[in-house]
Amino acid sequence: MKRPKRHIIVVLLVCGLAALLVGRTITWRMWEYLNKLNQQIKKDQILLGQAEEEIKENAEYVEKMG
Amino acid sequence: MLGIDISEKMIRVVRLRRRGSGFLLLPPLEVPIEPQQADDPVALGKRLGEALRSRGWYKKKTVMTLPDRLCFIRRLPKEEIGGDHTKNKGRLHKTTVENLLNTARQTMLVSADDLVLDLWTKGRPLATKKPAEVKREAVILLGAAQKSVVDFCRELAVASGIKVLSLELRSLASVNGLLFNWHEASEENIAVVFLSSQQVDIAFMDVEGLFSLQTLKLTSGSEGSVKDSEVAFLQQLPRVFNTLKLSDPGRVPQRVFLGASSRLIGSLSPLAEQLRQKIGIEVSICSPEAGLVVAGSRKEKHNRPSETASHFPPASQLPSVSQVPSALHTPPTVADTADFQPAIGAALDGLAATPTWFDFRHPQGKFSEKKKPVSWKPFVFAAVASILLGCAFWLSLVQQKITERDQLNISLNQLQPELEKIAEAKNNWHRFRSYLPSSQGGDRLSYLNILYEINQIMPNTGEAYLTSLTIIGKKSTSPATPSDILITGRVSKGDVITGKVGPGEETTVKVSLQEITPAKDSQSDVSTGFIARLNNSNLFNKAEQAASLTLDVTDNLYPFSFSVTCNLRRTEKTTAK
Repeated sequence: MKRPKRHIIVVLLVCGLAALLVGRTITWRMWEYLNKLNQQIKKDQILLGQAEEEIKENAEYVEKMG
Repeated sequence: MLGIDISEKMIRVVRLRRRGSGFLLLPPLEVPIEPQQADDPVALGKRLGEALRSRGWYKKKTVMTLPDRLCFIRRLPKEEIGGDHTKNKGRLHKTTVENLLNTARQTMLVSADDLVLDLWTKGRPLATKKPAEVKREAVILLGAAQKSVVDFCRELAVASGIKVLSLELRSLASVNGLLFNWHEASEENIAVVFLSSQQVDIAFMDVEGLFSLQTLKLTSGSEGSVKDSEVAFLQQLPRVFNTLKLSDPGRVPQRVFLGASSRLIGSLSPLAEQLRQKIGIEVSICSPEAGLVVAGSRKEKHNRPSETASHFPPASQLPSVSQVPSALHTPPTVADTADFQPAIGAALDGLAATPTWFDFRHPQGKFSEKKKPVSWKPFVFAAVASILLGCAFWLSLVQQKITERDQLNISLNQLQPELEKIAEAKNNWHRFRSYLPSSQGGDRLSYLNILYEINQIMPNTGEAYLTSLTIIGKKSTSPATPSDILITGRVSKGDVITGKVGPGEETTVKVSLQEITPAKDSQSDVSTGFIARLNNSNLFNKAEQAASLTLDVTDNLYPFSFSVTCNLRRTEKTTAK
């Protein structure tokens, strides 16, 4: 059996590691962006809920105070 | 180059060096195998490693023989192997390997799982040949050995830590150890026989080299006498030659080269003579030291191979087995060297001096089955497709989230005007709160309702204004404060409060009432004054003047001061509030 040359194995290992690192970074960034969007949506939902509740609670005041 | 020979009771190590056209044999080494260690490759390996280290041979390259077990060497025509075995850089196809394993199995009578193969063609092993070169070869030599034995030697080599280049069949190594006796033979067909006390190795060669190697067992146990071995040898060997004469008369050897181990080397001469008489072929006795320079010997010169039995020293001149010195650094005798014949053959293999050798450290056979060519393209396509699918899924998810966020923002923006109104209302409330006593508790919306209602009922600012508004809230039981609400203020005319008004005022009041309670206004024209409007309200009842109007001449615009009390209507709704 002809054994594979050592430098080819080393180059393959280095390339594999680099690809893994780049892939991991890209995946991490994508995940972070998605998380950020989710947080924004949650915050907006809470704000909307509070606003609707406030409007409902204060409808009578607004009528009388106006 | 080290040659290591593993026999049943002893590991023998020789070291050969090239010297000119010959080889220098350094004092060999023997490591006895204790019975309890015979089956333990790790223990044996450690012991061998220590012995080599003590001699300073630890880092030398080594060829090791496989211990005496079943082995098989047969020359096969290319057609017999079948299939295009030249594909994949000399590696064999699975079917070809199976055919070869079956061939070896029929002779060795062991299962195919316990067999390893190695192939050899003229010049070098098949694995190192280019496909084009293999195609040109007419014959291929097939060697087979037991896998368990090969594994044993591999473990031993790992445990000892020595650099083992290859593993050789012991039978072939024995024959190769006698190389300098037969490799210049003038005959076309020869046979090389190496006789040991338990077995005999017979190699048949023609002009193209080795074509068959057979091993015959002479005695069943290791304790058999020399006489028994000789008798068995003289009985079995002629049969082998006769079989060859019948099956392949064109390759019957014209000369037999006979070598032996130290135990039988004394009786080699009469054995050769008897064999010659039985098979009718000339027999030459091999010198164990032929072609070698033995280090430390007095002459230290090349030994020439003996041509015939008569040229070899008679047995009486050779030392007997008991006379072999135990100290290994002393120059070995001829009889000593005879025992190292397989080790010398292995070392010659490593030095590429022998014409035929196998390498069972890197055998073919089962191992080549794993080497199926696998295309990388499907894997790359699958990986790219997976990455693209993942990206598409992520983008769709992001798009969905962005849409959701935008919708929420639009909804929030739509609510902004409402929120602004609330903020304004809150601001107004804070302004009004400064008029309330800080100690007053209660529901602010109830106050707001009362204030809102009074604001609606109150006459115009030009006619009246409030100086105080007291909201007690609960109906008091004390006679001093019988009502819930006390309103005091100043008024321009008394009629504005009591309702006894003229036509002019009536119109004004009517306008005010229409804005507040248009239903009641349409039913009756009587209810006109502030008190009447209080009584008509949904929020108040029992409105009356608490005291008569008081005249204050100093105030021209609002000369009368008034005081009105009323109660809150206690409906279910207001009670709940």
